[in-house]
Amino acid sequence: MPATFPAPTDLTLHAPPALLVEAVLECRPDGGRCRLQAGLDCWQLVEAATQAAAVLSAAWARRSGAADAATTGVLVGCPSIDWHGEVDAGAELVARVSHAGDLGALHAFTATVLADDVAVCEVHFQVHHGAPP
Amino acid sequence: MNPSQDVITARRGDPEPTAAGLQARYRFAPDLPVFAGHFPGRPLVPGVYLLAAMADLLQRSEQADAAAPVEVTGLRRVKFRAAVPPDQDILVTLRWPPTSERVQATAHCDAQLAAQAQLVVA
Repeated sequence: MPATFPAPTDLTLHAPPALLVEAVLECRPDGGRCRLQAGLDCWQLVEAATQAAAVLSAAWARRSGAADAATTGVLVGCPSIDWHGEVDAGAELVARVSHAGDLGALHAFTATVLADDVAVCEVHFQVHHGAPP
Repeated sequence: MNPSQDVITARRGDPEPTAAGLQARYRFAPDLPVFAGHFPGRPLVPGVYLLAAMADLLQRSEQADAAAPVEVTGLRRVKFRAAVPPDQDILVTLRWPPTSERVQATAHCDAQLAAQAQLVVA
């Protein structure tokens, strides 16, 4: 039986119409996967990738008993953002997120957005958890 | 949220040349739908909107210079320095002309650096 997860609206401060993550598909301590809204453009892919990390961090924190530990992250930087080609309007979009490491309250993530299983956007980014740095 | 569309409506005036490049002003209206969800009760301009404004200025500069690079394929060394509320003037600056395949860009709000990035162009 597949695992069920809380709705993204319960896991992040982002709310519609700014919330681009539709569902958590897989959640591990070091990342996971989220389904995204269809039809996103290049800038929306970047936003959705970072939202996916926030949602997954909160989902894992909730499973670990720290209910709201990950909902106060602030995006502070992106060492790199790359796009690879166009996205078909009807393609299924999935963000695959890995927690690459941390330095105190600063957490590094890599997120790859797949359109029908083909990578179309990769974002390396850093989030500061807790009060803004 | 629709950064590509919202950036166009946020344009304030035409790009202006500076000693180091180009600059233009943007202002995101507080009634844009995005602010209902980013964030409820505490609206903030999403960081990706600042990046989209940088790319928008690059596109607008290209219209004036057909020999300039055409496509933004990525970004490097993006840093977000300060939160930007809606309905504030944002001054976007590009160092121009580009060196190699990267364009240095900044976004200031109320004289404070809000974001900086390198646009990778092809």
